[in-house]
Amino acid sequence: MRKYLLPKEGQFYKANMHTHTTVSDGQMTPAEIKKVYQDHGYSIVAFTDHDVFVPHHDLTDDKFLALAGVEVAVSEDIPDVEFASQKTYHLNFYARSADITEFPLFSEKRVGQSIRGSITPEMLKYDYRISYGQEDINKAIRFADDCGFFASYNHPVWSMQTYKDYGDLENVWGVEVFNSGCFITGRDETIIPWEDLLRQGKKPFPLATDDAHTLRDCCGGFLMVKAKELTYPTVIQALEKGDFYATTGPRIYELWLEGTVLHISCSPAQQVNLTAENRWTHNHFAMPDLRTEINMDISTWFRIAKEAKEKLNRNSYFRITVKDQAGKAAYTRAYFYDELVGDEE
Amino acid sequence: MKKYLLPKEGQFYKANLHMHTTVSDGKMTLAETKEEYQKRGYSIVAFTDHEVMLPHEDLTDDKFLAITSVEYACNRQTRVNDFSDVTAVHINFYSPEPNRTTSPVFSEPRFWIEHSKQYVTDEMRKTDYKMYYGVDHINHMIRLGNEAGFLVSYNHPVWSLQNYPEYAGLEGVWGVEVHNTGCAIAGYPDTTVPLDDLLRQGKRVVPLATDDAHSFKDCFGGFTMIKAKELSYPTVFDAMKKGDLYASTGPEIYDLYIEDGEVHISCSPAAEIMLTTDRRYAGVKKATQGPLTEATFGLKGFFHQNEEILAKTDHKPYIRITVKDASGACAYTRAYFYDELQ
Repeated sequence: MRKYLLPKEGQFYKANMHTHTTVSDGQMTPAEIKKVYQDHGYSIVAFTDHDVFVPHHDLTDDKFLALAGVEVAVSEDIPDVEFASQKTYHLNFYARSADITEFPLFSEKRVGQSIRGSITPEMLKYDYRISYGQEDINKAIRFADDCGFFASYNHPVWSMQTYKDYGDLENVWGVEVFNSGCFITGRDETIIPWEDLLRQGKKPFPLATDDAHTLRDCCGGFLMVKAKELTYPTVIQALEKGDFYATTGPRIYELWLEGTVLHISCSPAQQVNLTAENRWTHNHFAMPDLRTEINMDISTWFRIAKEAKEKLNRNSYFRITVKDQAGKAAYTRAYFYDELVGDEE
Repeated sequence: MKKYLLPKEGQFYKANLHMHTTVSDGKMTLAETKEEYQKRGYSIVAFTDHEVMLPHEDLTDDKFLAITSVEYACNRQTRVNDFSDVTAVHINFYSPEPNRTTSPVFSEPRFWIEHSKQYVTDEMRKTDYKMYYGVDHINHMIRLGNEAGFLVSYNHPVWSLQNYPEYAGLEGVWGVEVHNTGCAIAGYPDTTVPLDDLLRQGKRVVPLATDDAHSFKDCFGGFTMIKAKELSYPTVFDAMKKGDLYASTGPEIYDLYIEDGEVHISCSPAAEIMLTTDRRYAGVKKATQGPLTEATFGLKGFFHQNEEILAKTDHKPYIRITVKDASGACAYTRAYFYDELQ
């Protein structure tokens, strides 16, 4: 019997989960953003303007879904030193429901000069301060969760953060492994922070986003979300369950397990890798012909994972990367032993 | 006036600085290694067989230089009975002279490849260094190596399953792998994260792209271009030590210099050329009409910020440049710190 790791039913919707508009420091209006992304085959855009939570549900129609979000920045506060030398947490908060109209983590103190025009009297009811450090960030993520928002941890490399800054983060829904805006300004994409959290048994999902501010950083990294329909609750449910993969190009069409054989079908790939929290990998590399279908026997992974479960109570995982000839990559989320053997729903 | 960041004089020699032969667990013999690498334009191979360091001066001639070196592994066993669960520190020692066989951290009982024991001499056996896992212990090893004149590299952090708490405290490391062909094939991608993590502490480590070749499958992927006046052991070792090199998985860098507050680079056809610094100050040039073969980055803002940064923070200002070609392959310069740029 097949166990589908990406759902069997539904269709893939292309999504950009990190976008700035004229509401904050982006150069395009929300309507212009919708047009640019629709022209590039996207069905979903999450609007994540800085500091101010402004939903754009008026843009939603039967072919397009506007998700409501906001990006919050919490920086070190070294007096008189330019921002370029200060570490900063950037987190996106996404509203679970289209009915949410307010973001109780708002603080006028954090709003930059150029964005002040977007502040409304309703926002000023709130003044939620966050200071730099994982403890306060974790508190903010928990509070946001209570208010109906889930959080992503953005562009760790651009933020100049190391394990010391992110290793203790809790309840992060996603971590950016790719961010177009950062990538085109010279910061590598990296899976390290994401993997560092996974190896602790935390379950963040990989995100590839644009962080679009101008046309220049649009349509580079995206999610392919598999859902039964393009409605707010259905798509949010798919996002929270991890029914998606992150990519800068390659597509994954099917991913399922039959016994200990993992089946992947994808766009033409030069390299397909299985990565685990340990060093056991399974690789198809530099194949004479590009591959669009791979069956991997991963019984060794199951054996090691079972032993790790029994002896260390560790919930092992694996994840798949598909790379094309141009070096672009698609990342599945991590699939954990417990969900694969069915001990946990 | 031009200030050359890669030396003006001399020529580039292509090097693989991480290689395993039949002396340890590699499939290629010493002679095959030399032949195959030479065919592909390499002039230098560092033979870094596991645990045992053997001089291969007989391979050296006027067109080829064998560097005497060794790879040490320090493992942390877990209760899961499989090597894939073991966290491991792998470091290479590069000898300052070709005929050295002794190392202060040698240990025959540590050998895990039985047939390598045939190469052990009584001279080597005089040392039996007990290795322990952990940053302080690894630093002790590196210090002994440095004191004996060795350059020490820190290999494939991702494959090693290491994270910041495990590598950030390393001291005395000369180079860090940003690419390792064997690992890249096995799904551990290139990364500059550990390199920048060390650089940002002011530790002057150079980037290395290596093969870690064990068979033909993982050869000829990552290499280091060393610029030296001649292909002799002391000259090349000195160039390595000074950082007259760049690491690459494809693109080539021809010139790198500073003039009038700008840094200039010329290179093989590139899709992107990127400037990275110790802070969020960066730059990118992208190919628009045909590939790029040179780029210039103004450093006025960088220098301007420095005074403030040096006065008010513990930042150690540096720049480094990455050249990326259309296939995604990259060349990485080393980091040039503020004191070298002035």
